[in-house]
Parts: sequence; structure tokens; C-alpha cells
Amino acid sequence: MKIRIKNKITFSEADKLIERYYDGLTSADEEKQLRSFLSQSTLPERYKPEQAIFGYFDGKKKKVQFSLRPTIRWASVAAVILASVFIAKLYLTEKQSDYAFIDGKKITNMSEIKSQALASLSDISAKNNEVEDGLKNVNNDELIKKQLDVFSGF
Amino acid sequence: MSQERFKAEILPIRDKLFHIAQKILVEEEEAEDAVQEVLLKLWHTRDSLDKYDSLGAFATSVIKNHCLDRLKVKSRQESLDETHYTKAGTDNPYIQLERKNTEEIIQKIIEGLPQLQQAIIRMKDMEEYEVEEIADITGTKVEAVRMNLSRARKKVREEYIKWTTV
Repeated sequence: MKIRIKNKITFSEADKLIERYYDGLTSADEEKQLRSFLSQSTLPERYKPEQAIFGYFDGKKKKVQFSLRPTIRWASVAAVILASVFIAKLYLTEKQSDYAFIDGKKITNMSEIKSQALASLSDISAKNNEVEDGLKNVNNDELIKKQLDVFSGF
Repeated sequence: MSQERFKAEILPIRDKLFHIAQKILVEEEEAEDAVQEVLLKLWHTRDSLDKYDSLGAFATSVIKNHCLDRLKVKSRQESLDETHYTKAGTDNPYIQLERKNTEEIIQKIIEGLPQLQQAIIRMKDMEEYEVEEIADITGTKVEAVRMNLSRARKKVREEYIKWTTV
């Protein structure tokens, strides 16, 4: 079945709707019809009060609707920031607990890391540079880039 | 606060609120209007109502204050509402007409309506509530809301014509 959307109503239809409007009987749909009728620029003088009243309410409605938008926008920004912080935290925790750099070599096996740690504890004179070397190998640039990618959608 | 919770917690104390209002305002019709005004006020602030331990006690104090304010306005004592009304009253619309645009005229007319009618016309014509929803919130009959809406709309038209045909 085809639904035909009626754009214009006749003057007599409009008059009936206006009467119903003042009796508080019009539905939201009927008021929409009336609104589109009254938004025409060339109407007889007698529709002036209704044009003024509907025009006033339209202006107010726009304000109500618009005031909601920034809230939603900022809420979504906050959500993305929260999500990215959470992801970054997960990413960092995972990487830190998954491997260790020993003598510049990446070791992922936990038992090996433990035994190497024990061994290095018995050899306190181990070179301090090892720690620095290990840190250099963590690719900071890549990490930052990944986090920034989250915001690239904006 | 959801609509269900609002209805479950506020509407059962409606009778109590009405009795308080009637004690202060005496007139039954005026007390009924005051109750509906307060219920609509509470409805519009329902998001912050959860913080009150006893909603009943809060609503009771709101209706008391609201009715006392109404009395103050009636007896022309100094109150916030009264200064508002006086200001609107001395603001001669005919003199101001030339400087005012349509929007301002209608705004002023609506501000001059009785509070309950103001609340209802705002909810229906700006916030797009249905008459049935407003009746639900205020615990009144649909017909009662319709009647107030109709009075408010007719008054706006009548005043608008008066203001613009000088």
C-alpha cells in the first residue's frame, strides 16, 4: 500500500484544525499539518495570530532540541577518551608483564625471565646500561601513534 | 528517576498534598491547581529527586512553600513571584509594542497566564508531550488537562489580537 503524504491542506481543513487546536483536541500529527500550512508565506490576514503563535513555539522547540546536541557530543567525546585511556592502560600492562629484555634480547618465557632475574641478582655488578638499553627498545613512537589513532575519527 | 518510579512514589501522596494545599489556600479549585503545578515542577526536576531520602517529605515541603508563595502573591506582599507580576503589570504592552517583535509579545502573554496553564502549554506546545502524558504525571483526568490547555491557547490568541490591533 502506498502512503501518500499530504503536503497542503485546504483552508477549510485548516480552519477545522485550528478550531480543534484551540479546544486542546489536536494530535501531534494534526499540529504538524497545521504547522506546515501556517508556514506558507502567502496566507490571508486572518491566520496572522496562528502564524505568530506557531512561529513562536517553533523557535522554542528548536532551542530545546539544539540544547541537547552539545550534551550528546561531549558525552561521546568523554566516552572515547575514557575508552582510549582504558585501552592504552590494558596495552601497557599487557606488554609490561609479557616480556623482559635481557642483554638487549626480548624474552617472553616467564620461567626463563625468572631464572635470569635470579641469576642477575647473584651478579649485582651487572652493567647498569642494560636497563637503559632495554627501555630504548620499547617503541615509544609506535605506542603514542596507536593511542592517537583512536582520535583520528574526529 | 524513571516515569514509573515517579508515578509509584509521588502519585500515592497526591491526596496528602491536596489536603495540605487546601488547608493553606482554602479554595478547592486553587488547591487542585497548586497540586498539579507542584507535580509538574517535581516532574521537570525528577533527575535530581533520587538524592532525597524521603520523597514524601520533600514533596510536602515543596507544596507548602508553593502554596504560601501563592498566598503572598494574593495578599500583595513582597515575594519573588509578586515582583515578577508587578513588573509584567506595569510594563505597558501598548507603549512597548512598537519596539517589540511578535516573539516577545507572545512570551509576555504566556508569562501572564496562570502558572498551571503556563506549565501545560509549555509541555504540550514546546516540549511535545501528549495531553495523556501530562494527565498521567499530574494524576488528573485528560479532560482537565485539555480544558486548561484550551484556556491557555485561547487566551494567548485573544491577548495577541488585543496587543497587535491598537
